[in-house]
Amino acid sequence: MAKNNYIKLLTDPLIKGNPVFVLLLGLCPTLGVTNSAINGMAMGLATLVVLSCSNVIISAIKKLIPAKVRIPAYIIVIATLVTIVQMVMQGYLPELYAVLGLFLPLIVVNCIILGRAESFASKNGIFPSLLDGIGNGLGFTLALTVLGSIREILGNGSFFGLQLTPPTFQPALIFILAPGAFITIGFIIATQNYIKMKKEG
Amino acid sequence: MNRLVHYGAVLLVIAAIAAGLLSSVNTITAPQIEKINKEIVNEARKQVLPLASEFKENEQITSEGEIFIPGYDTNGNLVGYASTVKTNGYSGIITFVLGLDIKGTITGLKVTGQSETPGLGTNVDNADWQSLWIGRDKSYEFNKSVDGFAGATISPQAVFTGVKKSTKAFEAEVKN
Repeated sequence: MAKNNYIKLLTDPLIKGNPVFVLLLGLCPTLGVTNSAINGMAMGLATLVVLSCSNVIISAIKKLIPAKVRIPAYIIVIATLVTIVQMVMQGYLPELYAVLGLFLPLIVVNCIILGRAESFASKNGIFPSLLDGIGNGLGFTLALTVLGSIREILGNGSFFGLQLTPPTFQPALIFILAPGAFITIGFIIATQNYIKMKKEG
Repeated sequence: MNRLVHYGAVLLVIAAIAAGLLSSVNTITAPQIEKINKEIVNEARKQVLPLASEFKENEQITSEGEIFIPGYDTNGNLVGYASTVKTNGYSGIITFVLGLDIKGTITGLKVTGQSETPGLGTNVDNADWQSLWIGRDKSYEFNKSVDGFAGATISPQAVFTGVKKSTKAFEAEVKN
């Protein structure tokens, strides 16, 4: 693979092929945890770690796994990684665990991870798989942070916990509740499609 | 048939490696997790009973299902009790640590676990709101205009119910 293609693996999933906004993968954790910017970002980073590791491991053992049982094999690999991340985080980063603990098991069933394992890591070498994992992880983190920021600003008047609006401003609570997640992601996708259509003329 | 055995064997090997890996990570992290959890509980107890420096779990008193852990100051005098209270909130159990002095007056309240509605019920997690409870005792009655907050009726009331339950149990067995 040319050097150019390696960079593409990292940058493509950021905007052009963003796993959340373009491919609409992994919506369950996306909508569930993004009621604040910091929650979104932390979930994104935890996913990034798991995704990079799972891509590398699956790419390394792809020849040993018969095609018919690959899905359960991938799930075991991913679930093991998530459990390790969870145990380490609980033991050594208790503050982060207090915020994220509830959502960590959700990473196992995040279809981005299984999706990348199936469509990329199982067909490519270890190094490109690592890049693909990092790229998609960053794209996911970016999407969750953007979504979390918008919802936090509109629904709570703050950004990364920092109060932005005067106390007299009444924030629109609905944005940090579940319906706000759907409304916000709808508007983001609509805006993005509008820009894309304009570009294409 | 041979293929099935092969599939089974591959899955077995992967699962066995995963299990071995998890158990070794668990051996490393389990004591650390236990230590951290203890610290978190101890930290919360110290916050609700600021006079105490040491809590003796082996001297705990159980009354009406509530467990009270005695707290001692640096001179070894009993200054009060800390108790973990669970109460049914709006969307799950609210857990808080309650500190009581030896007369049964509240010295502090800290919510340690809740899953209330973000932005509404989650205000029970607010430190300013929690400090309202300091100085109250079992005779305190819930006052909606002071203790409630807009949009959430059930969550603050649930904390009150928990406080009532705990102070009543304290009165029954612990206070002397």
